[in-house]
Amino acid sequence: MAQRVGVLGAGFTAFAGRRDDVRLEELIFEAAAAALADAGITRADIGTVVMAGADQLDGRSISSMMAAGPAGAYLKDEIRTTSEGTYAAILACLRILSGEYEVALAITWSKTSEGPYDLISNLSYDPFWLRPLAFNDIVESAVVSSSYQSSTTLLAEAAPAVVVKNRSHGSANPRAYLRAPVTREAILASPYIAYPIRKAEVPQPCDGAVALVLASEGRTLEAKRAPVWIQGFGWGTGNYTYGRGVAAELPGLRAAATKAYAMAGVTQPASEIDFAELYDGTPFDELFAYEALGLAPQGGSARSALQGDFLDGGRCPVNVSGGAQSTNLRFAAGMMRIVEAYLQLSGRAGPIQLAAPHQGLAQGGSTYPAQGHAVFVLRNY
Amino acid sequence: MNQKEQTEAPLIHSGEWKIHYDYAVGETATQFFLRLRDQGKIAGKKCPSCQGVLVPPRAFCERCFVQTEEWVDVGPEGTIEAFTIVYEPFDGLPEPPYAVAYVTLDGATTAMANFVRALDLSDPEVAARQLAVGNRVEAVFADAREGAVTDFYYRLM
Amino acid sequence: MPTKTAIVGVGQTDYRFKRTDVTIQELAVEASRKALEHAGMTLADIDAFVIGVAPDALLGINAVDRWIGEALGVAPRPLLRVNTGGTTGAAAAQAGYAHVASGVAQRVLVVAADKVSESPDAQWVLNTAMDPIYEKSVALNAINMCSLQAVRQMDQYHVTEKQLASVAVRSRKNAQINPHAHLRAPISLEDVLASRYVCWPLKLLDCCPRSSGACAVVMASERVVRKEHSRAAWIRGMGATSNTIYMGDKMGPGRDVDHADWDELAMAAARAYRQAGITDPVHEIDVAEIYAPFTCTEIAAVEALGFANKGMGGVMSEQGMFEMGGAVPVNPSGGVLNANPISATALVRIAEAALQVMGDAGDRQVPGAQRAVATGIGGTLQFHTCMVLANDA
Repeated sequence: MAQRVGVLGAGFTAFAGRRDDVRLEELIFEAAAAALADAGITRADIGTVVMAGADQLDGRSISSMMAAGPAGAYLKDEIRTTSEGTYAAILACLRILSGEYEVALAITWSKTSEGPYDLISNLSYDPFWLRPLAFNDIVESAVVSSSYQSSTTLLAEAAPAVVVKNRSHGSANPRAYLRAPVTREAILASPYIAYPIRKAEVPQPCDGAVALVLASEGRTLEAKRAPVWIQGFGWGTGNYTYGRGVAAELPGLRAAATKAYAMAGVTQPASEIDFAELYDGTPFDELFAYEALGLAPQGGSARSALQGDFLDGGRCPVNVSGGAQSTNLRFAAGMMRIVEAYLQLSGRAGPIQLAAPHQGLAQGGSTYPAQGHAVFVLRNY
Repeated sequence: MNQKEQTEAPLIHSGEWKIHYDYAVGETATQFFLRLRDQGKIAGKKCPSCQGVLVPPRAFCERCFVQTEEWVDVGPEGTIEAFTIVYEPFDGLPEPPYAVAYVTLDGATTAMANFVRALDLSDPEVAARQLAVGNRVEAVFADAREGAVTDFYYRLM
Repeated sequence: MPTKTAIVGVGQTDYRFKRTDVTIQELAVEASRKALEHAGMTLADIDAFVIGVAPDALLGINAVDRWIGEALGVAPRPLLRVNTGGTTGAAAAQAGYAHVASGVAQRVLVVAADKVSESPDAQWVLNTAMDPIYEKSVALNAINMCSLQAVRQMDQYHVTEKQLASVAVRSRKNAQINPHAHLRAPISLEDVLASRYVCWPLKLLDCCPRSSGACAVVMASERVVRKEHSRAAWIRGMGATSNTIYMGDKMGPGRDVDHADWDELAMAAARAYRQAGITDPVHEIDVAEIYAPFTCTEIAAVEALGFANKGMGGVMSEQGMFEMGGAVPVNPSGGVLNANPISATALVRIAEAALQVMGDAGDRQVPGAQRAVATGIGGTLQFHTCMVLANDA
């Protein structure tokens, strides 16, 4: 692909278990204003506002009605996707590459402290086949895990290791919501909530909003800060029902990665990707992603994880930010992965800054129902 | 099973969504509702950039994209900007007829919606004339207030 | 340079109050199949899917796009859902355009579907779209927010109930030649004026029905069109403008835009017209498909699109300017007043406009139509979209 999209800046709110000090719209404004300030531009510079939000999570039907103004779209072009937080970035990239807009604000949010998340997750399933079976995102992750074709013994050993890794990483990240590390023993002592997922493997959620300012290549080169590029992106969809292929192979994520790598010219991800920020709503999601993204050999996720390949300082550090395990923004968790990858590549990651990374990967994912995944390859040259 | 064994009309499965939310109203609206509840006053917030007095109050101005700071009391009298009289029953909404109006309270830059009460709505044309755009109303406050928009209503002057 | 993009296939179900014979999945598939057939493609040819559904609560299924996607055999391909209220179908089309124009996809299926009749009362659901803290308890919904517009039109421009009624009568006349339309029985001016008030000044026949149905379009890149298609509806211009949810901000002395008017649509149209090289819409636009769920909204729209001066839309409607055979035929399909499958409605406008410039509109064809405009409206009359389609690239 001849063209690419630049990242001009990022903004995010304070994260807390409950942000009762603000109504949802004020939370959105907080992130949008922060992103504009970080990019050094004003609302007047924005061509389009691309939002991602989900009605039932927001407690508002057509929640973009309320959100458009605080997101900066007053008398501007605006659109909303509901697929998952990072899909706002996907759609913003498409709109910029189509030549329609020079600068886009992509924004998403999650304030699930106000509603019954598990119930809403269940209502996302069709009313006839899966909803009556009490499916929700955790149950689906568990069912997907059961389809893994390689050693499930090793997988069970690696899952808590992923949580320990991410929480340890997060303890050094001033942006993370949960800063206390956890031990393998504490995880193994926690009960299963949906086998093989343990309670301590599903992080406490927090409220927050996250925004990115994206721009055309020409517009990015005008900016004062050294550019970071979205060099490639892709998105894909899994199967809604099981029995078609192996769910744990994450066919949607593989398709997304194939597209993103092709666009970015990445042929050997394991050696060309310096670090990754992956969807880790449960450790199993992260483990399966290693293989789907080509960061570990097929069937080798657990072994790679256990030998420390993805630790800070390892072969390909994954979630040095602490991931969603440390900052579970639910719907907006993926967008924060892009922000953390962006901060790394612009040398502004603070205490968790990696030494001179050049190319990183960020992934947004949602498990329910049918996997939806987005992959971004970011580069600073 | 035969190709077409169905002998009844297609089945309907009933379902109901009962999703409870606890909406955080935030610090700005909290102040508005406390002032309404405890003092029977309606307040707006002023945009430091365009000087507009936003009623109901917003923590930020969508146009200027800055936070609002200053509180300004408005009303209790105001001018009708638009209205409707609802004659059709809608599920989950009040029994008709009822009138709703947007009113620019004196001192405000924007109009705020509320019910218009103490008005005979039985003849649409007569009621509509009384509610004409530009007519004056006053906010009437309930004796027992709970900190909600419905703590007051509009009444023709 | 963006890739030139065109609509090469259109599919619609009939719009009816209830479709108890199918699920929402099957309904979306029905329209998709027709669109693919019209485009001479199969599902296997499609690179990416865009699904428009809004709001979830009308269907009672949250992430219904994924379920519909299963029936379309989407996996592992890209699927993106758009939900922007009434504009959903148009926003989905704009998203589909971005897929192709960016060069990321060659063939995209855009589909939107709704079964509004499965929720007890749409207005209850639409009330939950209002500000839950300041406005929901005042019983606002989609009908009374349009009544507020009509009241301001009457106050500022002396729009009459008879002018409003002329929109309903003309729309219904057109619906009679559209087999997909939901309401097709003839009505007279007297019928409209004698119908009961729903929300003053809007009467029953000033209002749209609630419909079930689906609409799909197939979009393709210039390379594909040149190789495989003899005719296409080229997307020549588009725009979208969003305003605040707070209708009161459009009424007080500080307003930028008046709730009586659709200046937001005028802004979106200005952009679309500029891109399409249109400077004199009355003479250069051959047909318009306008998203007007209530009679008063069409009056605001024809003014915003430059077909009539501000305040004159109602007069021009009464004088017949928008009839079939008039200066600018509006809604040959019968429009939203005669079929409103909410999620799909704005896409239906685009689909009908595309059929017109492709010459495939059947009995409702405007002879020789070369340029068409389609609009969308959503939220508290706050979201506006505009798209210009033409029979040449």
